[in-house]
Amino acid sequence: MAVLVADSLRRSFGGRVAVDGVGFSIGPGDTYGLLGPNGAGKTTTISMVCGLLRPDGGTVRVHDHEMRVTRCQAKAHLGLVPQEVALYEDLSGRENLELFGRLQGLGGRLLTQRVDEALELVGLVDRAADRVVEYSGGMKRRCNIGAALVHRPDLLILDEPTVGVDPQSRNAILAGIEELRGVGMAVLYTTHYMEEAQRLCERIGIMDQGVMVAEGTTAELVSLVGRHPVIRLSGDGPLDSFVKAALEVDGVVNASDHEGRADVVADVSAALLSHLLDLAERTGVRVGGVQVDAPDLEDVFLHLTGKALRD
Amino acid sequence: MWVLSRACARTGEVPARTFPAVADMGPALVLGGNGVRRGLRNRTVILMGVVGPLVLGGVLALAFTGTGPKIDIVLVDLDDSSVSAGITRGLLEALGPDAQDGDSPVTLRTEPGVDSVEQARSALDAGDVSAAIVIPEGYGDSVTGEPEDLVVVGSADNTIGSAVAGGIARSVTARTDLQRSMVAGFVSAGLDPSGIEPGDLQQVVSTELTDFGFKFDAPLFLGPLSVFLFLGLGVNAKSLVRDRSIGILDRVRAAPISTRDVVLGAAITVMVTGIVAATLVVVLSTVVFGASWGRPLDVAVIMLAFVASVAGLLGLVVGLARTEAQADSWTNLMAFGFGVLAGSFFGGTTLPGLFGVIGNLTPNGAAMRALIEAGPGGEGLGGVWYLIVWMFAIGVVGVVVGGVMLNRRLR
Repeated sequence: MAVLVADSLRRSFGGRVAVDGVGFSIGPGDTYGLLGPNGAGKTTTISMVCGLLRPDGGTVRVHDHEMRVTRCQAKAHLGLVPQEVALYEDLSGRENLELFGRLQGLGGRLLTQRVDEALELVGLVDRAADRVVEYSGGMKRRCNIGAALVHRPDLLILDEPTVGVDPQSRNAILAGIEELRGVGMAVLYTTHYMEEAQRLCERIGIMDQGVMVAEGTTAELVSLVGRHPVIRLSGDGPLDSFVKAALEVDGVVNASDHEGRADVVADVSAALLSHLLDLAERTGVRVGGVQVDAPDLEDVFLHLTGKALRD
Repeated sequence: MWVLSRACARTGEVPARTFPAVADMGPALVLGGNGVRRGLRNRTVILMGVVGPLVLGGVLALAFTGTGPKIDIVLVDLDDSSVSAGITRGLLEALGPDAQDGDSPVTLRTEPGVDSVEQARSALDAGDVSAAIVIPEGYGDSVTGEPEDLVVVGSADNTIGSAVAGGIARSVTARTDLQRSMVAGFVSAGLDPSGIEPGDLQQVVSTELTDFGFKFDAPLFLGPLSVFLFLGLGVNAKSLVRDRSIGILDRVRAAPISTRDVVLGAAITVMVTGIVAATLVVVLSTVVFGASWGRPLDVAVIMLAFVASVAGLLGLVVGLARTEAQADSWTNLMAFGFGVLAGSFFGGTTLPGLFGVIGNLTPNGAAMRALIEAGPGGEGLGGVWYLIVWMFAIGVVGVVVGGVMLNRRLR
């Protein structure tokens, strides 16, 4: 059974449509990414998923509890990590986690145990007694995530958790999310960083101007672009001979040479690359470098919307 | 890199979650307790709830009551008639024996060496007295003839003393119009006018002194307490607005609770801190400054109702304010607007006319009036029940309306 089913969500603010007909589902242990530029409607969508915003249309079901009908039961299964560091800075990390645990109905020894677990999970056991204001930026981000994990939600919702985070902390956060997937937690992850979506998410929904323009696995989405990867081989020597030979290789769709560089259009594989390098040597080409230009989610977005992801 | 412990792995254990029913106060109490803890930690509760009211109330107390400069008014009888003797005796008895032996903050007495306006002026210049009320020669005849005013000898150096003496003199003169007919009746009946009961004069003096805030000193502390409670309300309202802007409110609302719980939690914070502050202010002002508040139970109920009404206003501010600046503006408006209307800055002296009526409708005005009317010599809670109901109503309506407004804005 799916942990989350969002169906045909729609929401307007005044006359402006922020989200229109967005739907997706997430199973246990799955990580689903909502990818889109700022203002695409990602935060509005997860606000409806969390029960913070009432949809104008559509439904949200968390573990078969419809958000509009059995809101408390639905909310009890989810943990939200807001985009900002949503913690009381004058309280310690432990006190913050205890507070949000209590709001989830935890108490007594169970609360203490869950807080200890969450602190361990985000690596803040040693600094648990320190006030959040004394934490580094990365520690605050980790504590921000820990506060959403204290009640062991079935669905963790992260709204751009790496915005403004240094590369080291970002990597730690992403690695932590990968581990959560390993213990069966469903994750809904919004980002405008293509690399993060590709790294974390089994399925990705691409949003633009409030609409889900495409949805699927990374491979499925990339296939929408309708072009094969291009292997760009630069070097000295008879590139025209290399191109002629390459056109005879199985899997090569097209090949051409341009000013000291040969472009080979093909489905990339390690075997094919190895074969092409052998071919270059045999045709007398001294290879200076190889670059693979494979379509990615950026290309998908460009292909679908006519603009770059970060425009 | 995070480390997953065995305890973090799924065990199939059902989390101990509770789902709030309509009457479940749990989440609101959790949020309210958190607000109190944060207030204690950043010391706003102590500064706004206790130190501020005590310092400001203490300054007012030192200025107006026995621990401050005393007001010493001398009565000079130049008329030496039976009428003036009756007025002198009436005024002296009006304040009781304390007013003649220096134990009262206001002393009203005769001085053997001061028998003329000039001597009164000399005593005033020498700083021996604060002001003098002179009954001019022929005043006794005025009861059957042309009206004559009492003369007040005052000084710009002692404006409070002059004002009190002037107030008493004006009231006595006004009352003399009534008494003139009574005295005339006594004289025409061949009776001694000095037998006039001092009751009317007692009322004159009591009214004057109460108007100046001398007889009942709880307002000196209630006023500052109310102002600082309003300002403390602003701190809580701003905190909620800030929570909304940085996502804490989203995180809180993502838990299985309602927006009502959020507003109620903030109101509980104000209630708890307000009750603690009021208790400390009442106790400390009584012990340190000798303030008289009235019967403890009456005071407790009135203060509870007052704090509830302030908490209700927090709900309204939270519902109205979209930004921290707006929350600031609303609370400053309440603190100082209500403060002026209810006389919080003037020892409980309300404004005249319609403004006075409006002032009595404000939470601090209603509390002030309830304390005065139920206070020493008053009717107790039975006589002010409608004010208590009014204050609680402000509290309930404020929280409900604020909750609805906030919910509409957020959803």
